Amino acid sequence: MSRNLVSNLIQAIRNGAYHTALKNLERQGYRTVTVLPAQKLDEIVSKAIELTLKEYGLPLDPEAVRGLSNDAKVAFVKLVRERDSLRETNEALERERVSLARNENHLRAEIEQAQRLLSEQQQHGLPEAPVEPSGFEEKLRDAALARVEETLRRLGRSADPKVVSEIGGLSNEIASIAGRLLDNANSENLETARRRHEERVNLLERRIKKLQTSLGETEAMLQKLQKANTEEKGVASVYREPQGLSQADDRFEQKRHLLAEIFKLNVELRQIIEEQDSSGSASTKS
Amino acid sequence: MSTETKTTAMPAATDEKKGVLYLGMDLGTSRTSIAASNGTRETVLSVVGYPKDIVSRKLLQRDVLFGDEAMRKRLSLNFYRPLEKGVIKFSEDGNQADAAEAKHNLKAAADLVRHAISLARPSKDELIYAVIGCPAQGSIRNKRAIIDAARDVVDSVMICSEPFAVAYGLDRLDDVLVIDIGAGTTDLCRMHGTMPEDSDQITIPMAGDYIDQQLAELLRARCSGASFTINMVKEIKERYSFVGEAADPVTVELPVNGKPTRFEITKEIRQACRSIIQPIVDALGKLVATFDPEFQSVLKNNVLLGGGGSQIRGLAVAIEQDMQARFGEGRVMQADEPIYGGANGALKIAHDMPPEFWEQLR
Repeated sequence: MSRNLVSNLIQAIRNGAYHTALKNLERQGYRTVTVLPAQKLDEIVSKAIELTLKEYGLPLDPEAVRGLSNDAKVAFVKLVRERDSLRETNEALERERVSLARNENHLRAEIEQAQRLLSEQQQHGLPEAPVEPSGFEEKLRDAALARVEETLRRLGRSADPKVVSEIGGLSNEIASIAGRLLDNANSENLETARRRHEERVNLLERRIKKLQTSLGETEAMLQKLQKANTEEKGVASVYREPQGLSQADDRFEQKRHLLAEIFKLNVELRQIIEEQDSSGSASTKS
Repeated sequence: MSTETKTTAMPAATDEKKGVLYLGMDLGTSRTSIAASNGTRETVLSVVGYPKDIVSRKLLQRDVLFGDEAMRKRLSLNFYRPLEKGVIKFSEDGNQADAAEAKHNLKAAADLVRHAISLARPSKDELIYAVIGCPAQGSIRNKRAIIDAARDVVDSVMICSEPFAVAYGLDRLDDVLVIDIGAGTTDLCRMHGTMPEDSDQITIPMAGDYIDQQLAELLRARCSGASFTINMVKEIKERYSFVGEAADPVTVELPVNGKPTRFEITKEIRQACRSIIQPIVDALGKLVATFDPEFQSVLKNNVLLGGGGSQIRGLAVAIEQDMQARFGEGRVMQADEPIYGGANGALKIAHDMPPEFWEQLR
């Protein structure tokens, strides 16, 4: 086994292990501890390969066994590391999920607020044209005429019918110009108000659309993440096929008997359950 | 469990299988631990929570929470600790008044079993064969609930006695006495080369929860005015438990009228933890006394201490001293991995079980 492989193996095991003081172990009542030097792992893996090959009647030349042995050690290191890295990935995915979920809630709240504002705007509707007071022009004309007549009276020119007639025409004209000016001002104001209203509605609609797109994307990402979580490949078992008690086991016969006992008890348990089920369904029918 | 989940977890029999995952589980009152043949070993508090209402459901973003997370958020949850004294709560009796509660606990236990299996992160294309350790005295209803829950997500499942699994895992099958200290019960099992029978096993209720109750009472007397919950007591015990001589005085901070106040509780911790020694040695004595006299000495000198409760500092030595004082001799060995002892043993049983047995129970 190369030096590099040994150090990788030691490092991987150290990362997966936890530290405790000898004093703590002593307090827990331990008097002795089993020590497995890291270098010994090398021998154990090699021995395991050798025994397995022997057990399956596959004698290989020492070089092939060494190669197989190194492959097994590399796989061992990978498995130890894979577990750590899977855990880290899972934690990162979980953090991401929480943050996306938070963002999703935030977006929903924003959409809700924007929709409320939009609905308020729509309820108010477009501003209506201001209603011109009835007989505005006539009133203006009468007011102007009265004022001019009063001025003429003060100047002593009120008796001149020509002047009075001129003044009357002028008052009509002034009233008509003032009316037009007011109409223009009103329609300009109305136009501005309408434009602002439409702009606000457009802005809210665009904001809602944007937020909804954002929400859709967040939901898709969340779904993807949840799917990734549920579709996690998992950690592969070290066994490719069913095992069973090894005939090389020192207590093969004794263990075989005990395992058969456990199996028998479980079969009996299933029979009782099935009987209970069938008697239960029979009583339901009756 | 929905059919959908079942389909995802269990490929059809005609599918080409790419591997076999063996899984051992120790379904305990306090913790549920799993060990699998892909190198995964996980443990989770045996607690399950379901959001109380639509608001908490939206906040928690999950339909069900487990372990530490459920514990932390228990105020927003309908919270269940589905196992008590080693079995599913209320599953043992047919009391109508408890029927609804039993139904909830059965569901919570089933969800917990499924969650524990998922912690093994099995590949989709693998056959999953699981052995679940449960108390030998558990009722048919109790065992059935466990089997039903597991069958949805594994290809084949078997139940076995917990202390037997511990002994099998450590290859200690002859003349050994296994003490498995859990949260709800302490199981003692005499192994003599064959499958232990009822007469080989004693279960006593003096275990982790019992120590918590004792400690709570002692703290109420010692820490005047302090307010605390049983969960806080449990945390204190798990952090400071010991039965021998204390290396340092144990001081804890508990609120008195809302103000954190320090209390020295060394004596109380020791006293509460020691409360299980005598009942355990009594039970041990019964199993030894009824054993073949020629092998009693061997049995006394082969006591194996396991389970989460065996982590109390100095417990093995204390039991040994008590045995020596009462029976003239005794030697107690501590199992290497108390939390995973049952799961490791169950995994070993799963691995050794002949493939045809698994097939017959599918």
